[in-house]
Amino acid sequence: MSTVLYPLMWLLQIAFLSFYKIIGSYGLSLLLLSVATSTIMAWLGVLIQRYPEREALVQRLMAPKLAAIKNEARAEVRHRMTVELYKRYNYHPILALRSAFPLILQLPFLFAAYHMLSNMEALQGVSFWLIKDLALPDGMILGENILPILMTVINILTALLTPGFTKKDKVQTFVIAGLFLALLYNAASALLVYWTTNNLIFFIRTLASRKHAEKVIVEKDKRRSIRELIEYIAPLFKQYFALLSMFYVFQAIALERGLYFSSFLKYIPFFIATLGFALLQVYEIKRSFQRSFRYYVASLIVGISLLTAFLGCLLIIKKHISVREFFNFSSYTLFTSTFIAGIFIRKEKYEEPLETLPRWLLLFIIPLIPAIHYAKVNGEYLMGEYNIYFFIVILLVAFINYMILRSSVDYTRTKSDSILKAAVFTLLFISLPMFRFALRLTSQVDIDFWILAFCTFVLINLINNNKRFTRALQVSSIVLIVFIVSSLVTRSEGSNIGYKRKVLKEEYKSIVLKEKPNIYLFVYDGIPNERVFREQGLPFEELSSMFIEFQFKLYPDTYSLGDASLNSMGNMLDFSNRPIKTPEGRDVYTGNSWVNLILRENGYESRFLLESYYTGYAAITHTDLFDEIYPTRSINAAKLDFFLVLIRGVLQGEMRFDTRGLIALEDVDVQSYKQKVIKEEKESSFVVNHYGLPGHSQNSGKCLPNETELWVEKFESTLELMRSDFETIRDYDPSSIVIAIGDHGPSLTGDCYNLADWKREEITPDLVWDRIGTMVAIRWPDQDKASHFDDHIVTNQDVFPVIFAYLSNNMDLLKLCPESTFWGLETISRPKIGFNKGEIIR
Amino acid sequence: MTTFIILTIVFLLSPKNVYAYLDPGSGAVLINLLIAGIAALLFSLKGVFLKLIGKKPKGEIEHKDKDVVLGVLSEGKQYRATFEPIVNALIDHKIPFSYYTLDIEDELLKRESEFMEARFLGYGNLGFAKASNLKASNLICTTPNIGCKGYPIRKSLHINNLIHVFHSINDLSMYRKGSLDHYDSVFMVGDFQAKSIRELEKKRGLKEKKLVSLGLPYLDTYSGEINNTANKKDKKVVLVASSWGSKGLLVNYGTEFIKKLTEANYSVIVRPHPQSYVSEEKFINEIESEIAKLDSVRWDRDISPTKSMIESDLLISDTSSIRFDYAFLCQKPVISLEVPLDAMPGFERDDMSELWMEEAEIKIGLKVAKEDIEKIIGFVEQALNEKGSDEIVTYRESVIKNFGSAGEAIAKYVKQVLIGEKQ
Repeated sequence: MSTVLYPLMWLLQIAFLSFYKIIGSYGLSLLLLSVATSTIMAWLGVLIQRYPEREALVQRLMAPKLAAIKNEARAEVRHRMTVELYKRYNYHPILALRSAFPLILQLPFLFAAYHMLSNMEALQGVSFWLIKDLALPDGMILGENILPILMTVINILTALLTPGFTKKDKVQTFVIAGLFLALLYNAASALLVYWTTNNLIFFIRTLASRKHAEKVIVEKDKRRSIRELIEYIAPLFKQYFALLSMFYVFQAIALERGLYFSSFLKYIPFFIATLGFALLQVYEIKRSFQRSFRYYVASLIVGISLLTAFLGCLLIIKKHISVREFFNFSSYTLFTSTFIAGIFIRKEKYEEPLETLPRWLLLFIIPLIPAIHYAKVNGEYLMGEYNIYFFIVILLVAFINYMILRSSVDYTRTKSDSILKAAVFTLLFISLPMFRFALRLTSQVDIDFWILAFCTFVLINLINNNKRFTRALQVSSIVLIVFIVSSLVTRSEGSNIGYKRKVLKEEYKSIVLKEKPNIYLFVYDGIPNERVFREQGLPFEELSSMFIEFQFKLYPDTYSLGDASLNSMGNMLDFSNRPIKTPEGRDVYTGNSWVNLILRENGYESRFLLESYYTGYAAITHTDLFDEIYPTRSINAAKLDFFLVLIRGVLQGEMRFDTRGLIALEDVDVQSYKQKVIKEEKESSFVVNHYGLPGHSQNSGKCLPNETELWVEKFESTLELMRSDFETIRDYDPSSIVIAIGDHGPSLTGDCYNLADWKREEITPDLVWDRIGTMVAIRWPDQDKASHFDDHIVTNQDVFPVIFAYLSNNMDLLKLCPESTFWGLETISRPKIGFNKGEIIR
Repeated sequence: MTTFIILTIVFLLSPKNVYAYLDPGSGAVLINLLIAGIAALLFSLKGVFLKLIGKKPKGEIEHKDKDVVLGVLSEGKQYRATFEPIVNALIDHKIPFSYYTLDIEDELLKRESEFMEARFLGYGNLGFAKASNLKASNLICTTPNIGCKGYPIRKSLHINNLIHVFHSINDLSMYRKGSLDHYDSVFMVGDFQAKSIRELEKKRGLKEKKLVSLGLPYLDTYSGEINNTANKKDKKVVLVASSWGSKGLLVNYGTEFIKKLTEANYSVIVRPHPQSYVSEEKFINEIESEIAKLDSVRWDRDISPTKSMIESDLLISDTSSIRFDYAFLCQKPVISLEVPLDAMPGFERDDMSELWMEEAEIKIGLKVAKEDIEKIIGFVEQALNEKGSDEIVTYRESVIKNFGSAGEAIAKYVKQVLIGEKQ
């Protein structure tokens, strides 16, 4: 809101400060500002005055005919006659809002003043007349704020004395005055001085105009216009709430733990949506009630639903259920009962702007647009038949949305309108991850979607004839065709199938390892180097002590040549610095790497304790490249797992890095298996595990307010795991090589993601360290021997060349270390950034 | 070709994957949407472009809305008298038509009939824009200068036959230049108008319009309202009706002659044109103040002149067509005060060799030159004595076609000729 009003806020601030410069008093400057804005509002009021007058005139002209229409028995006929009357007068019910223009005119000024004066430090401690501090509420009489009460009294008097105001107008104004009193009671005195003066000036103008005013408003007409407006917008809001309820149901389906929202930021809005749907359904039943079986059933269902909600409240009071459980349960109950009750309400038949086939095409074409896009850019998540299933799911979502509208909501709209709304709603819903990613929003709060869906609904109501529907179908078809063509041309590589199997070069084949201890590669996602810990005030001491305790050598100022898990690990296992995309990263991580092949060439067995995310389909296709993969998975399970990750990402409204599929064995199980593997008697085993914590920030492109705290919490639980790993190795495999690394940094600074809004020259070394600075600690069987080789460890990607040099006692192998410049962090508007040992290369 | 270009752009702009996790692909989707938006825009503009050059786009979808054969366009309630007889007759003859108005308070907007589709077009420029885009085979309108530069209503591209119907008795001399240049047909008041219309067509190299003499519809309205029962009164009543603007008699002659009339024991009703209250309010208020000081003078502000016309025995006016309304409806004499030509620049009369009015005003009464205004009393007496109703009626019948039934004649013509042609 403050962003939208920023120009007005800026102008008000300039004016206010200019007045202060001349007068030297903040209080008087507020009064002058009020006079100035009142003058502007009065002038604007004159300009827009014609609109409320036009509304009053047209209502007066239509009144007799509308009264006659009311006597018509059949709803369909009443609707048709009303539509014809509106067409005759070139009228639309939404124009009733013209009456509210004078009020709407004031709101931007109020909100802008609110934001400006609430945050103005200059007013702190400044007194004015009886007000001790303009930055605080006045508290003039026994601590009670008098200015808001004065403001309210002036508003009420204005309502009472405005010429032509009907009883309804007065009641309305009283309600608004009450709302303002509630909103502004604890606001800063400066705002109250400003706004009360505005109201006083308006009051004086009202008194002056009383003599010349004519009573042009007919009470009946106004009452009628408000009722008609309610009758027009009620179905619109019912559609809106019904689809919003489904929005939450779909999100609930995407939850990993059942249909239960644990965050109040989810279950409260879910409840509000279902409650809105339910109340409007009750209104509809009441409005159109007929003495027939269907209506009795509908009323009964509503009654049961209300009773259930009441019982739920009692259970909360008696503490048998929690508030969270109540809201979740009530939401589902309200939604289900409202839907069922709606089925029983009689539907009217209307002339359809679109024929049947084009109508259904509209429902399927529109949601396919984002679906095609996701399938293109996330091809590796859709393998084989799951490509088809994905589109089926999306179309099913659209169909369900339509059925919800049509079965239980739409009595005053055509099927074409319902289909278009369902299709566009589905489009918005499916596109939400893109939208949020672009605007750096998260799925924690859904207010963005509420606003977007509402605005879209209002616009869709303008599509109300054959021509416009046809145009909508044509435009959607064109967009879909473009997306399909783009997808076919640039289809990303699907599964890992397609990467060439590596064949050991002669140079690698000649690497003969003289020692073959077990090698453990333990990746603890997102743990950075000491420098990052210190710079960001993260707790380093315990980690440092643990490494000392378990005889690890911690290498200073190390970093990775990849800034994300898969490209970092891919480069590490190929000891390279080339750009590696996600599918290739999986391919490398699951055995098609130089490290793995060299080790296997030297008689090592490979055991990968890696989640599905890190292996992808390669877990199925690379079985000849490893001896064990855990958790085990079948082809179908792997495909389904990836498919579900994508579906979840879509349905939850945000594509997060921690979105999981089905094959998500609890980490506890994998770690427990890891312990078992460590304890086994074995020789020449290469064991790899990638633990997901502490990880990095959620990759929305915006830091959460407690981003660092969340990371520290996860880091502290990781420390416990690390201790357990190291203890077990010390006890069971003390002569092994243990590599404990982070694959990238925590990304807790900047935008907590890829610094999209930073210009190249604004990126500092600290920001880069935060993203690629990594922990590299190795426990060597012979530390002294290692010291001949390990001074070459600058990056993660140097680790295995050093290990090979150590194991083969051959310094020449150190030349396998890749060039230590990281290149990355490019965006659409920024080329790659280079980073080498703390220096930015531009 | 378009497909190739789109494919090339899409290929060149193919997005990279992000390095990890699910990819919302926001950047890529913007590019695709941009391309799709351009394609959709080109598709839409193609239809608009074809319409502009007068071609129908291929495969344009047939709409369920019926084609409008006959439309009637009114500027507002001030032309109710002109259009009401036409509307009534069209309904009586069961001829479907659409009635469009630019005035939400137009009484005809409330008329309900299965044959009439009434529509308010909107306020101000929005209304004018809609009027300029009406779709109908035939559109009857009384607004002069449609399609002329500087006037708000353009001739719609979707009208095949734009028909003018008059709202006053006159040739074209009292219309502003270009008044009927964009019309296709004219429903004339009488044959006398053909001469001026053809003369202007020839001078301007315009296509010949179809001319049909059908009468003046608003006379149907007023002929029913005006009865000519002689009122018994002490004094003779003179009605002074002035045009507005530079051609008004009040502007050119002032109020001196009115004083003379009152001194000569005549009662006077002064009736300025309703437009004067809008365009020259200050001047009219001054005149009213002056007049108020005189005895036996009444100021008439009514929209309708009928009451004053009935009450009076003679009319003094300038070039206003009310003279002919008065003469033909009330069959009473008229005195026309001369208005200098240079007081009327920019009117069609500049391009006309003869003015019907100059002959007609003698037929219905007397003409008084400016220099003779001092003798106005004599002229009044002469007119009252010499010009009888029979003479005026005879002249009326030679000039006005279908007096009192113009609306009926128009409806018959529409049915037999316009709709007959369409069928």
